[in-house]
Amino acid sequence: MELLMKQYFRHQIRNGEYEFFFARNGVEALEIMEATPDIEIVLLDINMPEMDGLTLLALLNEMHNSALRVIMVSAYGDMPNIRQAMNNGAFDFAIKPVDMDDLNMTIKKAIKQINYVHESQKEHSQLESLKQDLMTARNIQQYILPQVIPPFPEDSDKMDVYASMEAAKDIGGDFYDYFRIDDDHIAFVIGDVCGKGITAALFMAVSCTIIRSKGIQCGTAGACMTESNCLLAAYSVDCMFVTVFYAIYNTKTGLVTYCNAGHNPPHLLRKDGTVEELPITKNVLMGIYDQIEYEEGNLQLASGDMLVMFTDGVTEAMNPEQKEFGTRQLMTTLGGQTGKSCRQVIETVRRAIKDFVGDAEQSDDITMLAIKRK
Amino acid sequence: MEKDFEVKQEGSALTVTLGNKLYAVNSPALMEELVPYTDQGIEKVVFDATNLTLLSSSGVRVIMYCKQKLGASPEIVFVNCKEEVLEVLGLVGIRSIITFEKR
Repeated sequence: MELLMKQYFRHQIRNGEYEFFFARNGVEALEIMEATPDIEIVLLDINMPEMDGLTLLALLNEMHNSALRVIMVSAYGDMPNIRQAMNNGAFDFAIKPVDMDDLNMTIKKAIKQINYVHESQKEHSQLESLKQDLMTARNIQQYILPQVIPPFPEDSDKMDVYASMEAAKDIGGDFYDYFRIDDDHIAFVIGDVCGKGITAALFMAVSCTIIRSKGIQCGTAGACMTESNCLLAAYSVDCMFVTVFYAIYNTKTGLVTYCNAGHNPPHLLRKDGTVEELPITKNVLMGIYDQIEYEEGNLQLASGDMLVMFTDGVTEAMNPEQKEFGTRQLMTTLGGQTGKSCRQVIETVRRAIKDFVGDAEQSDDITMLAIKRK
Repeated sequence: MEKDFEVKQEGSALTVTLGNKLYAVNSPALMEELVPYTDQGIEKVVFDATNLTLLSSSGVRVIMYCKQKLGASPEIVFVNCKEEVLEVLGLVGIRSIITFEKR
């Protein structure tokens, strides 16, 4: 058989396409297989000394090489053993005396399948690598967000702050931030980059960093947004944009000076339980047009008033019937929360959304940021 | 997801017939379909929004892509735009770059 194989496949051997290893029994074959893990086709005689073909087939299966194809060889009429081998994962079989043309066809068929397995394994590994990249991006996103809560303990007698972000399965571009500008002024930011995936995550990181840096430099909300937008427009690829609500809170007076660049209007929960939506300004979203002056708005927070900022993942959370949680339901939920802390209010809204969406998969990040004047 | 939009070119005008939603799920596919029209001298993009009830930020990106990448700032027209879609366009501050028509 050895001579016959070498003679028949001499061209493939000479061209380096095939390489053959010959073993006189099952034990020897197993040693060769263990020493040469890249062997991918085994021509296996059922009837062998020391270890028969069926036993060896079982041991080869334990190697868990999904590309390995085993072709059984047996005598004419040995159907029970051949059937057993096929049931145990053999790829095909050949009957003695072996018809070499037929064997050649079987080997070619096996190679085709092996190539397909390799291709699938490669795609699987690329997918795994992509998943890993997404996971890393998601972790980086989380670290960009402020980690310390409460963030301004020195002002805890004047204000309460809480924020949360529940990331969707597909990486999104929501963010929030807060930072001190000077002794009496603290900036609050909430934003949502359009789209999903790595591009959105990167643009989110750039947006968050630019706004923080410009916020500290510029002092006013309008100037911060105008200058940040100019830079973001330079970084935007294929019309990527971000909607942002930026507010500067005066810890002494309770005055909020804000700028809304295409973001969902925050809701104001007054001490008496009434809920108002901040008026929509004429400002445009950020990252598209570079020469835009952003207009500011003002809001006076009285003691006990709370400003609740959120992204569209809140109002557009969908239930299995494809109905949105909506602004009205958000306002109703907020209405019953007077006197509560920012954390209690945000957690109540999260629970309300959770109850509403039920088993439906979360399709967008759900982000909220609240400040309350004490 | 089944394709729920249609893009047709007639001379220098492009008509995009939208389905019920333009959001994260179908916006990338529409963007991809619009890419070949970038150098076709498009002067007008008409969005037939008769059936559109949901426009998300990903959908807004498609509109901005048409305005900025197809031709030299083509006219953007929305046909039969519903109130909820108008609200979104107003919220993100791009109503002023769109002409609205009822047919």
